[in-house]
Amino acid sequence: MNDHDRTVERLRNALAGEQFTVSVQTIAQHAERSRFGEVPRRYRVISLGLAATDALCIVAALIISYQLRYSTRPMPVRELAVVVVAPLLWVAVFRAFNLYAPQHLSPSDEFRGIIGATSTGLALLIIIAFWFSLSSTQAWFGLTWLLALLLELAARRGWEAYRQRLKWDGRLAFRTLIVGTTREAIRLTEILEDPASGFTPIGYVGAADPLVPTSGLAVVGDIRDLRKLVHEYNVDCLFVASTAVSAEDMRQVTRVASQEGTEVRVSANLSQTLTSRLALQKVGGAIALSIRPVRLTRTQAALKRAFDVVMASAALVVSLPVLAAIAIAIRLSSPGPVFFRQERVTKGGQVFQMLKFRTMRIDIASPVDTSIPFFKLESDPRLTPVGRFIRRLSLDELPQFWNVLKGEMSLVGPRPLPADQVAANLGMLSARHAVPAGVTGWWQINGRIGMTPEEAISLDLFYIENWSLSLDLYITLKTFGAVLATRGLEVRHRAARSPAPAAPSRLELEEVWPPHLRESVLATVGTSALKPDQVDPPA
Amino acid sequence: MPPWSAGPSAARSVQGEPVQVPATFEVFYKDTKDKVLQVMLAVTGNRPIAEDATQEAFVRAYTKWEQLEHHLNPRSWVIRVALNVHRSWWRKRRREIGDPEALDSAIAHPPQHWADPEMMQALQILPAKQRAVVALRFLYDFTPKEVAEVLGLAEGTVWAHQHKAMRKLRTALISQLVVGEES
Repeated sequence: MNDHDRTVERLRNALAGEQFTVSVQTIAQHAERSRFGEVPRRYRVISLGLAATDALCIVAALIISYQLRYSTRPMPVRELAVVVVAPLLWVAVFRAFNLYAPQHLSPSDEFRGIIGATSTGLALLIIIAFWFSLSSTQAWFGLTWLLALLLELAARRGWEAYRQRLKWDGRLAFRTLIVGTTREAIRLTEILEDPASGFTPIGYVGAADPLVPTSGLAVVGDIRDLRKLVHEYNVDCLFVASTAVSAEDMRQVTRVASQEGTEVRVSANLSQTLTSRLALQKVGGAIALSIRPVRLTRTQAALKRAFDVVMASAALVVSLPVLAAIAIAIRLSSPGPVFFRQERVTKGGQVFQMLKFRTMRIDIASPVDTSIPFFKLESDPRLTPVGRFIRRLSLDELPQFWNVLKGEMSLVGPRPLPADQVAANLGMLSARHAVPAGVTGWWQINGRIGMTPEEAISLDLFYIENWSLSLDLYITLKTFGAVLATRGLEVRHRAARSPAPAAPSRLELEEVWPPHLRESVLATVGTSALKPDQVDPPA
Repeated sequence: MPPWSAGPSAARSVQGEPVQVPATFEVFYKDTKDKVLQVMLAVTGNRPIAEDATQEAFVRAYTKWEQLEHHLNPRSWVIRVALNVHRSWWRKRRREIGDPEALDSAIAHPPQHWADPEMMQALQILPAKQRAVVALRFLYDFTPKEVAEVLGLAEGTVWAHQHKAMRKLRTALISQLVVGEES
């Protein structure tokens, strides 16, 4: 026995006698007692915290930008009055944009809301400033807008991460009964069972449409006893599968919810649609979800192109030293060209040469059969050390900004697939070619290994059908964040899930993916498919 | 009642009355509770704090047991929550340093009794991360990979922490021994 083992042994012995004497009954009773009404209460506290943060953000933005503009000149009384009024106005505007109900917001909605609310709030501030007849306000307010936006995005991001943590460990998860036992209800449960969803499904409630579910949860009762069930299971939320209930059932749900103060969600059975395209409309006595049309108008297309050109040229200029360094490193470390070119397919099925930095040696033959999908394995012996490094940081994709400038690709869009694979699967993949291919896409920030090909392609279609400039901006920022912080908070949280989202073994993938699609879908994900860090970036 | 079958965890009750605990939770609790406490004792060096963190972690585990059981790894989940709970308390406490009342209560409470006081003292020399690594590795019997996941570190970092920590522990214990013999 060596020193190490002796020390370990002694450590174990030092604590081996310690026992936790609290009975399981006590634990259960504590849990039951703390359970009721806790989640709604936490959401209220978070809303207050959000309001305080927003107020702080605008005051800080006003003061800092004033300092930046006028250095140390003390603030005149009128300006001070604006600073005092601003937070009140700010919180009111954010309230109007529905930004204090985090339980009803998805991250991308919050993102859009923040941009809208900050801009509206500042416009109102300028009107107020006009009222107070302030002098020389343009620069001050311009800076304030920019600063407030940055501060708000950062602060809200922090709160979102915090909420995510609470959701994950159950303190912010609504205990939920699923109303309905149809296929939709089962799918709903599968979605809610993700600990990040913020819901903890407890069981099903049988409604008009009886079909006993096959998944793990039990059917706990019938909708006629809903009120009793809500009590019995300490339920915070009723999640209604819309295809399962009659109008009478729905009345029963809303009646019980208003009596008991539970949350209600009704699934809309529209998995393909982003909420920004939806609006509620009353048509006579019925409620309708109106879905705004999807095609890019001429103006929108021009806007997207302008966004691409500005961002891509900025990115190229900023990264020029890095590009040069990588090019030199590639040239020095192994023989062959700096760039790797491959024929890929973009909008309208057009083929173009996509640029990447070369990450593999070209002087040795491929050790694996490249016609099977896994020739991009991290352990591929052809991978150069430089190549491994730039792949890990996704730097090998940088030259694609050039493709963007040339108009062959967009910054955001479905990943372009190799031409030969597209030719083989034209029927299934052609829908992806309605928009230009992208450097990054919805898949890159939402995709997960283990998805079926249909799911993967539906993510691409989702993006195509829900394009907006703010969605592009959102995806761009997310990608940036994911690449920079591959060890983000949520990644860690997800990492502890079981089974861990590690790179799948070849066998697993062969089970999940039909052979003719494996390659195309892998290509969709790009090289990140085999880097588990980036497949599941911070949401 | 229609022929809906109620699940095993069906009978929740109002406050005070005995609660019907899911059997799987009971098994998990019996198997894990002492280990969690031991890890928390090693990490905190303080029995009341370790017990509170342990209890809180299991209470939270109970609240979302249905989900935990099927979709997460309860064993690593519960220790991570316990460590989180302790971390947030510690953060609160850190602000209270210099609070005379806290000092008084520290004096009022008698020192704790350990089976191996030298070891407990040696543990407190380690930086918090290293202490956590050692506790998870040797008291919770986690692999370096599992430790890395729970603490959000790279696996290599875990190895490095473990190595440094064990060296420090050995030297601390040896020097204690020498001092002990001299006095």
